Amino acid sequence: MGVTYVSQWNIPEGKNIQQGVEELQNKAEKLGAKKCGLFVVECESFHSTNAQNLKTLHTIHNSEYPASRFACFEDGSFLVTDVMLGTFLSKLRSVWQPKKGGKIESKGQRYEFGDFIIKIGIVSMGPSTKGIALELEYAPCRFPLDCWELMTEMLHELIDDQAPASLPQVIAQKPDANLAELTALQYIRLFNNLRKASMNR
Amino acid sequence: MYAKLTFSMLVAGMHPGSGMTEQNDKISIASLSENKIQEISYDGQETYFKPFTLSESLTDLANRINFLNEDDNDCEDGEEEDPKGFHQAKQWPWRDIHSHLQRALIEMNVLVDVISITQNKPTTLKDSAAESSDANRYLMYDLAQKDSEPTKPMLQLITKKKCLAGAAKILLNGYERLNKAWTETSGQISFHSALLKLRKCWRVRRVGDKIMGDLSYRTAGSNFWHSGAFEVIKRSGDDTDEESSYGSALPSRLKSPISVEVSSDLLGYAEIFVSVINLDVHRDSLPDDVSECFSLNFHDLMQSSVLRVNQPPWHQKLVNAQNVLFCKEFFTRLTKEAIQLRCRSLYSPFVIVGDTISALVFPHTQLSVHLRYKQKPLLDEKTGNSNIKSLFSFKHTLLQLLQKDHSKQLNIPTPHPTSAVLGLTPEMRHASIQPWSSMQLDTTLKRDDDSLAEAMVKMAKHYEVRRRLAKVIKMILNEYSDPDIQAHWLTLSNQYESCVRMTMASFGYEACHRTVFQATAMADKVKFLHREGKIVFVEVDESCIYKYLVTLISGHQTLTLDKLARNMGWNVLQVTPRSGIDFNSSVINRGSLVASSPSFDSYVGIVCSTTYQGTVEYDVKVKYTKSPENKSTKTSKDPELLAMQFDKYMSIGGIWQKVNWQKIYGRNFINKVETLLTCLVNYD
Repeated sequence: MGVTYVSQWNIPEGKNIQQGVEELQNKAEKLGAKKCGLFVVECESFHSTNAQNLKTLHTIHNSEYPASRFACFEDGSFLVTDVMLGTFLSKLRSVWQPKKGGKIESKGQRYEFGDFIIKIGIVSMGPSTKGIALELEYAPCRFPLDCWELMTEMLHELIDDQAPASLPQVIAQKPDANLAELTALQYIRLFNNLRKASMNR
Repeated sequence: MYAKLTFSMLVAGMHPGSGMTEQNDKISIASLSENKIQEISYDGQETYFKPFTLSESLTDLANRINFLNEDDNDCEDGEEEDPKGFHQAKQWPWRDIHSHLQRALIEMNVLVDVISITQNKPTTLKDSAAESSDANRYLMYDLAQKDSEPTKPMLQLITKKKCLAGAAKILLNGYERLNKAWTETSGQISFHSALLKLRKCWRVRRVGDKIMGDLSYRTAGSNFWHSGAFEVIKRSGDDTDEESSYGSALPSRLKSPISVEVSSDLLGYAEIFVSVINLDVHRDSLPDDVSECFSLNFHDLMQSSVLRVNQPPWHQKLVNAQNVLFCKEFFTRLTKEAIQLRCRSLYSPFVIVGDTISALVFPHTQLSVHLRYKQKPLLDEKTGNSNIKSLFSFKHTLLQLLQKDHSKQLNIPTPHPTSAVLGLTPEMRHASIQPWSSMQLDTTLKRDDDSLAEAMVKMAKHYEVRRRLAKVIKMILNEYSDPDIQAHWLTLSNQYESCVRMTMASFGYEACHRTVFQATAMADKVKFLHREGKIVFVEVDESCIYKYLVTLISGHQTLTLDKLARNMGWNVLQVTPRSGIDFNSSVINRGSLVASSPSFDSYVGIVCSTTYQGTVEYDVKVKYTKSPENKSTKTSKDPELLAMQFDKYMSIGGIWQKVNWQKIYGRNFINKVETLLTCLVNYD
């Protein structure tokens, strides 16, 4: 329930995804982070059947918010619902149809390091793995601008050269938004990027 | 009168006619029609009623006479003879007259008799006999007979007896019948009234031809398997005698027409016995149990005889049965929870053997819950064990938790909006769209279902911690008299936390410095809150608490010295209440103070150190910067003050010298230091 930063971690040359994850986990453990269970973030995308209005709807399930589901439209509107969202959408099948290969998830180990929560996940689409997602959360703070310096410092420790230079665009655009929403939006962006990357490949 | 007149008129009417005709004067006299005209025919002829013949007219006239109205006796008598002739001739028309006359005669006779009696009283028997022989007399004077000749007394007695016996038999029969009817009806009434009374306290309903009651807590939300049913039986007269053995102790007026039949497993007495046992102390000699017997039982109430007398026996029986049911339900529930509970704070898992659940809450402290179930009252046993201290909070909290759980079963919050999932609180429903993180959800859910077993473990731990804290405080108070220590247990506490506020001050120097802190005994630690806002959590081990308190004492002494030195105008060069290290390895904390006299010619270094043995040791040293000549004079002046051999050290100068602390005058440590400082200043 804190400020969260989500990004893709590029695997160093000559290593596969598993080795990359292990490297990152080692780094986190060396810092002193403690293993604290598993996490999963699932994303399922839907497209509208209306030909004129070709929009995409992403639904996110984050294990950090087990009672909630998030729905994000491409135009930026965002919805927080309870667990019945999936059933509800299946009833609206005539309007929203699941995209082919629309299911993508990030799964992995969750670490706690003082007030920080580090999540290192492998992004996979069905059977194929797409990359490594890193999530850093600073639990006590709710205002991204206030703790960004602290988080950057932490990120430098974790992923020294891949640390972001500035505030991510999603957070910068709406710094006052709900933190869960910001997390979900960052994940959607990450998943979209990974999807595109795999398409291009 | 009337009869006489008519008679004379009749005679006069006859005479004129006859008299006139005999005289010479011719006077034609046509007699007027004396007869009544019966009818006049159309030709003018009149038909008359035929005139009465003499006898007929006499009869007619006689008929008109009312003899009873006659006053005159003579007239009557005169006429008495006349009708007889007619009577014989023509019987029917005279009958009335006959009867009238006869009646009159009788009346006359009676009158005559009365008169004669009133006039002359016959006094003798002869007269009366003569009178009685006279047939014409209607009334006579008859003397009452004197009592007849005496009959045989025995016979009379027997007959009397027989008659009385018969009467008595009838009366007794009637009494018996009435009595029977009365008892029957009265029994009926009291049965119903007793049933009414029973219904005021217990749920009773009719099943078929039986009256069944319900003891269970189902309506309160309990889910226990036992139905808790009892049957209400009307007790007839025969049963009362049989059961009198049961109720012999009770006064007879309490024999109620109702008896209750409870299922056999609810008979007897039960209670739940919670105890916190200190195992290592137990092994020595003094059992230091902290126990609590509790049940929903009205044991406390039962002890007062007033209530006992006023309660009907069935009420007592039902109360006991319900209590047994409650204890069983509670114990079953606790057992279930204890099996499921994975309590990290426990030193050993729950062990359930028979009617006992036990667990180690601390290495040497055992919590055990025992279900006592016996056929006889348990009161004696309870009172016999004198070293049992009572834990009120246990009973209260556990009952409250159970009740809360029960009410949760009953009161499901209505879904709002109506389409929402049933059984979720509004808070939970909003949790999903807030959105709440898993941590928030966890804390909320945990807060909601605090299980009985967990609560009990927590309470037991708290109790033990509080006991230890109290013990340590008592020890400290006994051992340390130098700073005065006061402890106030606050009344504001709950079942999981209790507070003690402590104040330390040196006698006579209270205004100088005062250490105030608050110790909170929690479930698994002791929290010390200091005045400056510092919070220290201390382990619950007795020695840990003790050492911490000793550290506080030495810190208090150091701080008081600091204040004192400043007040006296000394320059405090350095003060450390808690430095934590010392050259000596047996010291766990070292508070130190270094001060110089106002003119900087002497220095005082005081060390208050706490050792591992839990004692406070003071080490006071003095250093002079003055020339040794002056010192020697001082030593000669006051050899007691500085026991060190000055001459030797003074020549060197600037060497710390130990003060012979025992010999310094003073009531307590601070007082001694004041003496020392004063002396050193005076020296100048």
